Amino acid sequence: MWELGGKSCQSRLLIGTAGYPSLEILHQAVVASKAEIVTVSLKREDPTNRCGQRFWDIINSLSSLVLPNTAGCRQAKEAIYIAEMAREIFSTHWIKLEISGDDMLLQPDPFELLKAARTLIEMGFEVFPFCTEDYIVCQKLYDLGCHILMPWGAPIGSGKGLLNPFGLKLLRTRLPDATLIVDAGIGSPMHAMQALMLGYDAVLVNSAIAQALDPVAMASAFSLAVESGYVAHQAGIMPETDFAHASTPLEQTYFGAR
Amino acid sequence: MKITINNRVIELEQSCDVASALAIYGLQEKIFALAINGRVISRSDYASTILKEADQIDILIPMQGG
Repeated sequence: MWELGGKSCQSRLLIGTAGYPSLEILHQAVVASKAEIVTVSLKREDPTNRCGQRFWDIINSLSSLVLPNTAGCRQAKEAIYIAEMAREIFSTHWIKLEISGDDMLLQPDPFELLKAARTLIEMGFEVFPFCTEDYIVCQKLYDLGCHILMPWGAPIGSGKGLLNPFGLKLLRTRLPDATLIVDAGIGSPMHAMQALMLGYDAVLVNSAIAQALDPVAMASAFSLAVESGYVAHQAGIMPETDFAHASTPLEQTYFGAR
Repeated sequence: MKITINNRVIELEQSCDVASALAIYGLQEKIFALAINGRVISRSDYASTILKEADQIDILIPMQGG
């Protein structure tokens, strides 16, 4: 068990709900992932299309905790507005704060992020900022009261994995009390396992599951990988060396003693 | 009196509250959030919030997201 934003969780995998072949497969994938937290977004209502209600019925049937995001926002004021609307809809003070500063990379804008985080915390939100692995930005967000940080592994949907493991590891070392969740860029269960092995508390995965040939099977693979990575980190991973160290004591082997 | 809901112009015969305007608009969604001129309105305040000429109502609903 671990605690996230005042809630006890078993799974260290958070799952996004976008881009699945169907709502039925989304439902099956969330169940297979064993994730207890799902991310959702908001859109403008369209009276000709009732997909919002169908989607919400699926999410409700899962009994998952809902983490709304502010995807699509480019300014602090937009994100604050969406956060307020999300709190009204989902009755949660959790908000995954996403403010993009670049349309090609969807790279978080640290200046708008800090501005929005300050206001949202004053408004009583538990802010989960989606940020880069930049230590200074993360430290400032943490100091504002964002005790859960979501640095990216790589740009959203790129599947490139952890592009800067050194920076992510440094962040873990420098912010030992923060809850750190790698969000975005994870393309395979190996990447998720790597994040947990670096000492990260959890990962958020969406595209890697939704775009798999078999999303339900992939969700299960991620569940196993996250568990494995966490247990490996707890077990203590051996240090790397540059030269060989014989695992068999050579002086005891027939030809080994020279 | 004219107001807009999600950029759609709605003609109201007289001034009315938010709940009545939503009924005229024909909102089908059960789960949504609503703002008037950028200010979020709690569901409990719909009946007591009276709309004015040119008010802009924004209605958001859940969608899939990562």
